Amino acid sequence: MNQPAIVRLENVTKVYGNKTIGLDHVTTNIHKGEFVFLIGASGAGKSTFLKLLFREEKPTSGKIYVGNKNISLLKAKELNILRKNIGVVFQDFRLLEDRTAYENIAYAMEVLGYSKKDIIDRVPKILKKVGMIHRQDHYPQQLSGGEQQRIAIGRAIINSPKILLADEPSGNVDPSTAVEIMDIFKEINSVGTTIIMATHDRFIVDQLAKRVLELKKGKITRDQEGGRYTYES
Amino acid sequence: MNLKKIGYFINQALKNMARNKVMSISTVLTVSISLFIVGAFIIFILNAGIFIKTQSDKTQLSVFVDTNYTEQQALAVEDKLKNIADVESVTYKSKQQAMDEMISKQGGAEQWKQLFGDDNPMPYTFIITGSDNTKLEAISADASKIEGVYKVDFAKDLVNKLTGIVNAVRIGGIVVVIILFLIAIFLISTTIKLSLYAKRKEIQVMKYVGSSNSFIQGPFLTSGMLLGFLGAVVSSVVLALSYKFSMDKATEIQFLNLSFNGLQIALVVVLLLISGIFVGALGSYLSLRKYLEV
Ligand SMILES: Nc1ncnc2c1ncn2[C@@H]1O[C@H](COP(=O)(O)OP(=O)(O)OP(=O)(O)O)[C@@H](O)[C@H]1O
Ligand SMILES: [Mg+2]
Repeated sequence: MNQPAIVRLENVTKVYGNKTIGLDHVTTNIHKGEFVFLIGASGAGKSTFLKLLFREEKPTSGKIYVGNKNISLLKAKELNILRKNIGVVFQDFRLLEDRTAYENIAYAMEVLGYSKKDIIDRVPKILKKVGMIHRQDHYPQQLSGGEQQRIAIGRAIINSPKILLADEPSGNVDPSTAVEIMDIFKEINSVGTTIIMATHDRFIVDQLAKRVLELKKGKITRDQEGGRYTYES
Repeated sequence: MNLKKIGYFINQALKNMARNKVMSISTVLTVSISLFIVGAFIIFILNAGIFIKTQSDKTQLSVFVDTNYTEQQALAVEDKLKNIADVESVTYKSKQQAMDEMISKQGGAEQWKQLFGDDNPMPYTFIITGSDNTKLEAISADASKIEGVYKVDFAKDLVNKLTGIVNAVRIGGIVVVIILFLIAIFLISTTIKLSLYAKRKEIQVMKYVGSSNSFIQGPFLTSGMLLGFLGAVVSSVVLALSYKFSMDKATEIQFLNLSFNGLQIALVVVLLLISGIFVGALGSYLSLRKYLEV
């Protein structure tokens, strides 16, 4: 691949406070525009991998570069710049229950200091992109898991981030909804956004046939282009 | 930092406070009680200082003659007083003058009449002016030795006594003030902690989307400062009113030599407002540091 690496891990180890190993000497490059699946058994270190990238956790040793910046060296004040360039989506959506779909996205823009005009202009576009414009006035409780996940994805892309991280985004939805959610990710990926997704969803990994990074006890045991969920040679 | 951002912070801060009305109101009240006591204390110390200063600047002392002395005998004492070193002048005050003066200061002519009839219990008095107030102690000592002198009243005794009292109040007061400040800071930080808890989901979202720290913390810092400021405003109003009231009373007792001093109260109010905002900022800062990880 001749694209420059947008994410680079050099010998990264994460040991949690209670001596549990999250990642164990991981080295890998992820290039701009890639779609990468992180797979592996529960506790293999998938979430740890993602958390390290947007600095929810700091590595115990090793270096992590995002867009040529060593993110371990970021000061608290610079952290928000990293996070503005990285969107995050979680299995449990993490929407604000007392705000409508529209307001959830508008809130994220508001706290980033966007002007009212920008917000009014951009929120409907994002809602359209994730196919939720018709439900914009509904509260999370009134929406299905898949619909909530769409809102969460919308919120993650308000800044048009270069990287989108997703931690089991289809973990709480039925298989057909999962396919629809994947279509949104594919579309986001098609305009050049790098996507790194932790998942247990065998069907989706096999169907999309993207790069697969398999983790086992914190180590990368497989790195395969167009890989399938289960290794077959 | 622009106006729009500050407007946003104040707006959010007011929402935080409205969300937790009971806690906010009790915090404001506690802060205002604390600051009221602080202000009253400062005013007391200031005025006690002024009072002591005017007393110690006095170059006079009063000599009271034994009450069983006749006027003739008393006047003989006067000559001896004049011979003391550093005495500049000696003024004679008859029993009647002494009585009249006291009644004009304190009133109660009727009661005196009832108690003593036509007798005058006041002693013959001499007012001695020294050449300067450092000599008064020596003059007082010499005057006390003269036969027929019953008592020498010397402002310095009063000054010393008062200074002792004021010092005790000052030390006790400073301890109380520190405790009150700590309580106010603790309460504000608790209030902020509760709003942080109430808004933990929003804070999480702000972090994930990459809000700047100032955007996340600003509303909470503003809440704390607003709580402290409101407490200061309440205490200032109450303090100014009670100051006015007690100074009006004090003016009636002329002896105290105090009067309403607009500059004094203005200074104290400014000090309270600054303290209120500072206490609020510190209280919320402590909570933010403790409960808001980035
Ligand atoms: N905050 C933490 N403190 C201590 N240990 C942790 C923490 N977070 C994760 N771990 C441990 O680190 C290891 C890797 O966890 P991680 O969450 O990355 O796994 P995962 O691959 O995402 O698993 P799952 O598929 O269940 O989500 C596990 O053993 C886990 O118990
Ligand atoms: Mg996980």
